[in-house]
Amino acid sequence: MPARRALTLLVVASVAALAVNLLAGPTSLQGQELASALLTLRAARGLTAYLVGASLAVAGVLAQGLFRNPLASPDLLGTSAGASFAGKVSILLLSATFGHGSVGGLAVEAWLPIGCLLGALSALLVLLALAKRAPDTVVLLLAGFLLSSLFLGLGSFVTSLAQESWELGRAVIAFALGSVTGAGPRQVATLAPIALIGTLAAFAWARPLDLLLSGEEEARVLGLDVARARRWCIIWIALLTAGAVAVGGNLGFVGLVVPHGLRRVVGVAHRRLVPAAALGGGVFVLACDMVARALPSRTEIPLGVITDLIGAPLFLGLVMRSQRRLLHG
Amino acid sequence: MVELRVHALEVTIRERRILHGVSFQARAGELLAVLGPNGAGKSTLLRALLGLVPHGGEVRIGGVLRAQLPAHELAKKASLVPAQSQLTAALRVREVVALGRYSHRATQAVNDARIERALVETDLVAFADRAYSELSTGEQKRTLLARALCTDASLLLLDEPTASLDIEHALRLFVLLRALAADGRTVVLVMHQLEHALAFADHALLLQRGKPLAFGPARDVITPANVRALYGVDMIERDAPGFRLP
Repeated sequence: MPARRALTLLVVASVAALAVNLLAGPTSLQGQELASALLTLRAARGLTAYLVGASLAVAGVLAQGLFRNPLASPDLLGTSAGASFAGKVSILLLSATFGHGSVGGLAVEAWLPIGCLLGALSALLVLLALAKRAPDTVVLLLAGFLLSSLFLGLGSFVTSLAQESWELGRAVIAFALGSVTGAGPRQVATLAPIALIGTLAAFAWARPLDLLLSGEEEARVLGLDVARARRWCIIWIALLTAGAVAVGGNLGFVGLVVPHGLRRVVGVAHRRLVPAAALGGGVFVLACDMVARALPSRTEIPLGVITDLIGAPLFLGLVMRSQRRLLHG
Repeated sequence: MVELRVHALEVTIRERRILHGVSFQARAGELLAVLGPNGAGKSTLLRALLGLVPHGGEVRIGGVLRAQLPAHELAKKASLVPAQSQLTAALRVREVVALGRYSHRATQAVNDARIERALVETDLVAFADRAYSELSTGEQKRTLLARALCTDASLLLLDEPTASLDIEHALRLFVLLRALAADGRTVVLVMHQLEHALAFADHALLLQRGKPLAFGPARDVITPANVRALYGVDMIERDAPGFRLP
């Protein structure tokens, strides 16, 4: 399929998914005001899910370009876990500072993305230092896995500390599982600028990312300031991941599956891959959230569980297909 | 005009001296062959010229100290065709060639025209929309050459450019390199075929275990004595079958 047509289809799919999200479900509430409030909440939740998906998918494109590895993604490299751990610490610290009553209040929401950003940046810097010492793909992925395990372990410790208070424990667990259930206009306002700026920045770095496909040395010969490119890519990956994790929690596989799948459709050139990933990631997470809403359950299944359940087999299928292609041409 | 001037170049990697005391120069419009057995330091020399490995000594390109040139300025003055590229992605050939224009702030039309010219020069027009990763090694090599040509650099460094080329494309490449030299560019190429060096190079630099054995006009330098000292083989001067483009 030509790349331009694929991008058009993704735009159409985005509009359709947002419309279905808005209109699906009961709307015949008594009273105009109630119905309008419900639609506003639904729109905010849908938009939040869409922006979380777009952010994670674009962060995935950047990570894969920076590490020259199609298996790199914020969750596999430990970036999401780092952001999630720092997010939990932020919730805990904020509750200690402002008291339990304000955990779900403005202060937490204002500070959470910054905490997540610091966590994501730390994880990426550690990984980059390791990648420079041992540039091998397997070592990099193992280091990412170890880093992810370390942050998840530390995160579990923070979760256990939070159990001392019922309200705090619930807030930390809800954050860890990943959900956009309670998202409102405030979450949209927090994530929209991050997703927009991050995606535009990734698009602006499309040519340097293409250059990096040839390796750092060749990119340098062709005129790229590699250190600067690396620095900025890390900042944008961290920002996008932190924004997504702060608002939607630690959603797995989005940054991995979406760019990986779309690369086959729009090609590897980043000026097409970045917008495609933003649109495709948005549609993917929004669709996952609609599944979460539609599944009959006493309590809603967390969004992170749905993205894992859909993303894991999808990724396995993509890997198997590449292996078959390698074997049979 | 001297385009490339190298003085007392030294490269030491992990306490092992790879190059020492290498001095030479290449003029605009000249084709310089760097020769030597495996491990003589030929590829390291090319990388050192571009500052890709830490080194001692001095490298001047177009009269300017290379160390003073920022990456984007250096890319417009010197370009490298590596022996093996790290590029494995399925970028289209045209997209790979376009990477050579990164340092140029030119209009899309100017860039497109330059890319088309490079594709024609390297006989790649028919492959322009194919994925780079699906090409043969020789075709990939020509793509990398087209990418380097697109930079419009006055100094062109090529590491074993004919290693994977069939005889027709190897000869075409030398004809193209001679044309580029005639156009005022300086071409420095690492190579193994002494007969090609004799046929096409103006000057030759012979490297032996990181040290220059001889530097000068190709015919004066590629002598039986130097070949014996360098490779341990005898140079036979007799009529042998040769090949040329029709």
